[in-house]
Amino acid sequence: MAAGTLDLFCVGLNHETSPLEVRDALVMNESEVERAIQALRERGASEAMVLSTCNRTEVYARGTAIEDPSAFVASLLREIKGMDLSGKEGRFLYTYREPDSVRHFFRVACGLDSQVLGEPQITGQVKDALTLAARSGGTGPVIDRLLGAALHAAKRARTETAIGQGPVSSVYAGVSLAAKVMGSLAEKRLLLIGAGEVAGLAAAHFKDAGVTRFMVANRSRGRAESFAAGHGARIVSLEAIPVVLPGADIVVTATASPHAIVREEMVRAAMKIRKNRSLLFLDFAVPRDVEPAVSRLPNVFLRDLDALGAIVAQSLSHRRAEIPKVEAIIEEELARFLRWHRSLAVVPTVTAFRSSVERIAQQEMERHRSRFRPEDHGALEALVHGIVQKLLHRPTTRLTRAEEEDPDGIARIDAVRDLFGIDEEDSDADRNPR
Amino acid sequence: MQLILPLLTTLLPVLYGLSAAGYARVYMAEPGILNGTGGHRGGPILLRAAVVVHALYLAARGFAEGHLPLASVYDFLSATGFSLAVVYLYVEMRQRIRTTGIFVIPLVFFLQILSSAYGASSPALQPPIRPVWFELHTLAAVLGYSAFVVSAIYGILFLILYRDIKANRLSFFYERMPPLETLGRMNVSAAGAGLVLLALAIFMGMGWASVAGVRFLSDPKTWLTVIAWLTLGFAVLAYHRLGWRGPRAVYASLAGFTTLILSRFAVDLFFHSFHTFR
Repeated sequence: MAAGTLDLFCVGLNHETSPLEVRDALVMNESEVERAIQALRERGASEAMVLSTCNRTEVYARGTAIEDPSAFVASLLREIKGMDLSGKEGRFLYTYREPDSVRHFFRVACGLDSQVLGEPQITGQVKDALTLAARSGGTGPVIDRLLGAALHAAKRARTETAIGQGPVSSVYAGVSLAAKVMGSLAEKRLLLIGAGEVAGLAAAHFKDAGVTRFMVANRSRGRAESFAAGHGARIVSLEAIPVVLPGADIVVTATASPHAIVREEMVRAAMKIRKNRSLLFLDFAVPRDVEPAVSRLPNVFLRDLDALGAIVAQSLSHRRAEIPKVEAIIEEELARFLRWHRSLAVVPTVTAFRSSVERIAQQEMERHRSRFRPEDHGALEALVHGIVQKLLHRPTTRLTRAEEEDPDGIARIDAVRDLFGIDEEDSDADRNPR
Repeated sequence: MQLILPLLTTLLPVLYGLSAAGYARVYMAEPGILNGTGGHRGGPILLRAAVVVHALYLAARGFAEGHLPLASVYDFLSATGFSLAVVYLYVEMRQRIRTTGIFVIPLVFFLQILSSAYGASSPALQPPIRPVWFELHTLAAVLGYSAFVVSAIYGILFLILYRDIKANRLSFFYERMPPLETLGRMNVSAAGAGLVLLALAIFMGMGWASVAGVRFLSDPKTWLTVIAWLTLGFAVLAYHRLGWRGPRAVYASLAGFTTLILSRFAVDLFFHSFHTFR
């Protein structure tokens, strides 16, 4: 291997290349990730990391000992997960070599490769992958640096662009709207009408947003009790809704009722009692649980599924418009990372190159020393040293700048190593000071 | 002093103009994007600098002239701009919201540029000798008017945002505004502060008029101001006691503000009043 070659590869699959059942079958737990990293290390990878989430399983490793990374990772997955990806299922796998592997990792960290564009959870998952790789002995200077650079790119993407802005689910759109109307939700009271999956999701999102007081009304008492136990909610009967409505600030409805449960006159009466303080209805039911006429009342805000869907669509479109800005950030960070990575090869190459020339000069001087008078030895050494330094000056300077002169610089380092027969193993040892 | 005052007169509109540009940048940026980058601090820092310079300017004028610098309409414009900036800064620091600066600071800039451009060329008025609490009456009135202007601005912002939310319109404006209830509170709090200041101004003015033998009860401005004060007082009272919320509360406070402004113009255009600015 030439010292300057960039050797980080990535093999994996994600939600775009593979169906859910394949991704599900390949999700690795911690011990499986450790086994994979060990196997990669035994096979000659100097560093390795596995990123395994519900939407992707990707192997990142360094080292050219693995000649066919895709086949190797396929066999690794067969061994660890029992899934054969060597045949036609091999189409699920993609392979990237540096610099594309680095670019791909940055895209993943910035949320560009996520199923929900710009979602932030991937940053935490990337950090977890590094922690696990470090514990399994897979990390080294390059993967450590790669993660730092990826997190920096992700942070820049979030602070300098709107890639993470705006709600991307109907429930979260409802939470955002509540915050837009009421500000802090800490003191607000949430009434959930229905105790199914959507109500549970809404309760969880509003809890994350600071709501602590929940009431739940449901036709089935048993289900309401189980919901209340899970979310710390107070149970009220459906018949008591007109009584508790004045005390609620946000009402989430998600029932299978064939007719409206919340009627306009009920809300009108509640608004009088609550002295016209804002009241928000989020109606996730089809058919709707809240009469549309409610939205005409002052200080009452009503959103049904269509309205929330429109918010999500607008938000996603806004995020998509930010992709070029994030890609520009990724290219900047990629260039910085590659400069650093290439610079790793420069110092050992320059040292080895200079040593090689100086060793030849020294050998020749020793060979001919007897032909000079002892009192001339000093002058001879000075002469040879001077010639060698003058000859080495320009190549040394040009090599030192090699990493700045992409892409010719790297070829120059390779050429020098080839021309002067600089030992590859020494170089590898120099580049991996662990 | 003769060197410093012209310098400050020129510097003030420059500082307010730059801070208005800074607040425009905050408003135009993607919501949440400038946070943490330092890009959102330019406007607020420049505004603080402008307020300090403005305070020095007013103090220097007061020191040089021996009375509060409120002798002409241009002085009044400058003092109104200053108090608007102070009231806005107070609200900004309290609510930690900077995206509304674009709706206030350009007005301050406009007032100050008028004052700086025309005030220097207008003949200097020699104000009559007035007791200090007459000057305090003027000062309280200027601060009160500024608070009402800020209240009206937040009231209008409230109405626009309310309409956007009702229509499920995620507009450029929607994304940059603070929560609706916060705007409502800003509207009513500023109106409350304005009420207190205007009440002080009215009482101090009446006190001074009694001592000076001026028949203030026959002055239309006194009555129109009291009517405006009562309208605004009702709006604030209705918010706190009658449960008026949302557009109704805002319309009430805007009605009071409109009465106040119209009363000023009505007095100048149709009535003879003993206290008008020239």
